[in-house]
Amino acid sequence: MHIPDGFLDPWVLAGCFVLAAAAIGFSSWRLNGRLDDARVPLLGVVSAGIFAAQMLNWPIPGGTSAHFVGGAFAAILLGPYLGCLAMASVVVVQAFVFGDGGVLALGANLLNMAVVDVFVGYALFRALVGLGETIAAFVAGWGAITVSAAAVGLQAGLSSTFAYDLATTLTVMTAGHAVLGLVEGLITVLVVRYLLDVRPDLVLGLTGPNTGGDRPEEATV
Amino acid sequence: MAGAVFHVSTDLAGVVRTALAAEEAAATDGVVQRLHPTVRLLGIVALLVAAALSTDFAVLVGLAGLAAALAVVARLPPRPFLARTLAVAAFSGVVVLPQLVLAPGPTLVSVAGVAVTRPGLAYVALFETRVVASVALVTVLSMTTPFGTLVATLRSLGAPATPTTLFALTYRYLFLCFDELHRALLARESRQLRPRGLLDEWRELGALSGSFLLRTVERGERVERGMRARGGARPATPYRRPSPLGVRDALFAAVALGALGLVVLP
Repeated sequence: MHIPDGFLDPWVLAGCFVLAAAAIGFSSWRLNGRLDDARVPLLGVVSAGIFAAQMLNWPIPGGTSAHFVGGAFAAILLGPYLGCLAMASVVVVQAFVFGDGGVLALGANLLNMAVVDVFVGYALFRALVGLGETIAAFVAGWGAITVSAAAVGLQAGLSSTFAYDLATTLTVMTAGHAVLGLVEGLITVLVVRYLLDVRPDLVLGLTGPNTGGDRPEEATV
Repeated sequence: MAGAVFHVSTDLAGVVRTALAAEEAAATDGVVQRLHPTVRLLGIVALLVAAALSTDFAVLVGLAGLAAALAVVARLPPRPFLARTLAVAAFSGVVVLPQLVLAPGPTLVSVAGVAVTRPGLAYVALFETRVVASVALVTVLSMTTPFGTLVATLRSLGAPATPTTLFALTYRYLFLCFDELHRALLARESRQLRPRGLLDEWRELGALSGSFLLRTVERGERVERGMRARGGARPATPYRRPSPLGVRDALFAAVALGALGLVVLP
């Protein structure tokens, strides 16, 4: 999912950067100035936790394993706006410290993993939560990662730097991640179900878009 | 779970090693490390833009050579520098290699009945060189710039306080979270009495992830309460460090802008 530098055209990079900045700026604005310097540490710790959870290897048949991206999970746990900021922080640290994804491609990676993954995951979860949290969490995890992959395919396909045409990049990325997304969906279900059983008050995605305030005393943000 | 513990331990160790190697390299007294952080960041971004815009193979080779020269004068350890750069180059090579035979044009050579075309080879060489140059430049930046310095630089360039503070805190708590995750895995492993099937492993990993993230949130709440107890609501100004500009900075800026001008200007 992390796009390195050198894959996309400059105009695609610039467009992604503008869209990602707008979405992240909108998320900050929707938090209504409530993300003060006392609350930022909490979000920083949770972001670090999501980053660490991405390191877990989930065994899949055939002797290999998978990791989860966690955008939909972040949206379900924190709500879409805080989830977007948390995932943005993860993506930025991954790019600048660990070389996962490029610096010029940061806008594209933010758009795919901190915006599309989070907001699509949240929208799917909210749309389907009436059918039960398990189904909603699975479809959110699966759908979000598949749509994010389609966004990567779209960006690559629109770039003349990348020799494959749009139909090829969209098909390969979307079909591949529609299968890999099943793992993301299952992981999202398992983790969300655990939290709902133990601390349902933490799962802010159940209560509509959270704007950083009016939370119970012991809830997250 | 034993497999999971082994794999995660290996991955976590690798990530921590990468971060520590970068911090160690950044503390080395190299030429690049002595550049003003803002000049270093903007200069390397300018070189990255030049690489993204260039379709000239010679220019891209020059940029890759410049990145290698910067790594040498920064006295970066060759193994992590090459490992990072070549890992991405290998991945991108796998992605674009089919273009050797897919790109239409005159045949250059036939290998086992498969025709490698001249335009295909030219495209793969150009793409790979651009990726190598770009990744090498990013690696030079990340291995010569501690994350705290990067955050301060972003702040000095006008980035808002909240996101930059968030990035800094994510990095600060990352290794604590890695350690906690590792201990949680070892604790669960030590309580396992018999081998588990795939379904059991998934169930256990789900509970482990959930409890780990729950502990993370609770730690975050404690940190938040601590901040509030100490007054809170102060404007965040992480890691501000004034440093003067020098001749070295002007030279590097000239090189970076010259490379960009070479590509942009007809």
